[in-house]
Amino acid sequence: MYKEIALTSFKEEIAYRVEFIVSLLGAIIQLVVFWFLWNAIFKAYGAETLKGFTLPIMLTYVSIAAILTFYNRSMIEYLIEEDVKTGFISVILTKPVSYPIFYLFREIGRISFLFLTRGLPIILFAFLFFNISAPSSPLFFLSMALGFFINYFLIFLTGIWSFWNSGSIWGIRYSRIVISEALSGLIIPIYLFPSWLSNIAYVLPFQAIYSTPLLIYVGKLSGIETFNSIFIQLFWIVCLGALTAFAWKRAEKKTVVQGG
Amino acid sequence: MDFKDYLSLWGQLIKMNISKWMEYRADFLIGIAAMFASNLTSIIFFWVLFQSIVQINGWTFWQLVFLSGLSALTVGVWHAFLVGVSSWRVEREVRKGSFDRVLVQPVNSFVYLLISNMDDDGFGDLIAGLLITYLGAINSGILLTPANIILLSLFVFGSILIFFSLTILISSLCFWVVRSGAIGEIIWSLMRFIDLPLDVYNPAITFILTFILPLGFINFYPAQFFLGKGIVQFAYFTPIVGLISFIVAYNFWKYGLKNYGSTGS
Repeated sequence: MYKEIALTSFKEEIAYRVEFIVSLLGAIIQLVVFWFLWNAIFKAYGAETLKGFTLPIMLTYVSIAAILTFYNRSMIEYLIEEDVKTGFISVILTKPVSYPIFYLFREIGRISFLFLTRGLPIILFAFLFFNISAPSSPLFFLSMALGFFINYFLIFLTGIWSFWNSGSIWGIRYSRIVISEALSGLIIPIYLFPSWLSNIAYVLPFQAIYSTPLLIYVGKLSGIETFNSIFIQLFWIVCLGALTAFAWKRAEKKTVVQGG
Repeated sequence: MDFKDYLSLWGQLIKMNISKWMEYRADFLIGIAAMFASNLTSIIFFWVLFQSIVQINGWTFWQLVFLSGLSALTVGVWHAFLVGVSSWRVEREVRKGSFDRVLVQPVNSFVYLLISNMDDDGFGDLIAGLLITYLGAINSGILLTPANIILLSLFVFGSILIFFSLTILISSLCFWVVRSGAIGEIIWSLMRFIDLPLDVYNPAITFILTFILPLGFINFYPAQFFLGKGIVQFAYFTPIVGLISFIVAYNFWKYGLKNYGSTGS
């Protein structure tokens, strides 16, 4: 029997390692596919620069985007749904912690862990094989951090949907992921969008999460454009932060009234 | 249990599922809409790119839509009807211990898992797959003659078997390591390769995706056939590759099951 216990924990450890390798491999496959894609596109286009992007800049862009994707893959919505379903939410409400801030710090922990364990190897891969460049401005790091907060408010807002609709949050989360990917510049720079579509993208918060830090990284924004973009990021943080506070008040009231 | 019993069991389970979906109608519709939309992202991606270019390696926009449609259709059929032996579900059954209960019953555990799990969200995938394939086909000048439709169905049948086999192989790992759910993510990563036609890759990757991990047969070779690109005869191997993959995968599953039964963990 004790042998079984040892074997089980051995298996658990292996499973964690395998999970790690699988997720890293996934990111690298995606980058390899992008490498072939953008090479083929630049060949088809026949010129050095496509809407201001050269091939090396584009490869840098998609490599950094591969790391920012971690924001989009957050599981917070599932955790919130779980809290509502199991009634844990009413336990938390009696504690002297703020629920939205509690999850904010969980998300900070998760993202830090992912950046260190997955992000660094991805960067190393991209550096070795795609010869990507360093960020062209240190403001990239500020912008990336601001993007994190905008994304957090968005996922928290989609997450507390569970308070009103107790069923599966799955579809809501998936829609959020799809919309964020399509309209944010995460997969293709917004510069390549036709103008009507980029106009739509610019009035939505998603581009402030991904496109702004990415464009700053590859040096596509001038000094003034950089400050404007960061100002827009701050604007979204204030708006979505206020909306989150408002929505959370209502969700909290609903829980208290119904007794969880 | 014989085939007739399985069919009636399947009927019962579908009835149960439908009443469940009707109860949570909003989730049902949101799930379908979300899956539908997720299929459109690769189309939107190509569409944005084709604002600047007219072809990628000789593939036009609509030809790439057709290519995406074939893989979406394959995944759609799988997602709607064959998702029961996906690694997440198998891991869940094994962990809960409910799989052990299945094992002592006079049913084939593989068939049981299959028919007791259907995913309504899969219909979003399926509808999107059909629509994308159809739009891609008619806009790339593929004639929907009865002969073409029969051939396409035959190829898609093979494609489904190939994809299904890949998922079975991964799920079987659950019998050794239990936590195989996350390993299943590798399938979606590998499928990224066939978002693009295989001829954009270097010969090594093309070789692997044809002969070792035959994902190329899911969409690339059938698409080449209908679009008259490359060696069109390659597509005829699709159903054969599918059958061989399935035989290999199912035997691996049975082998894993035997291992699982004997350790009793």
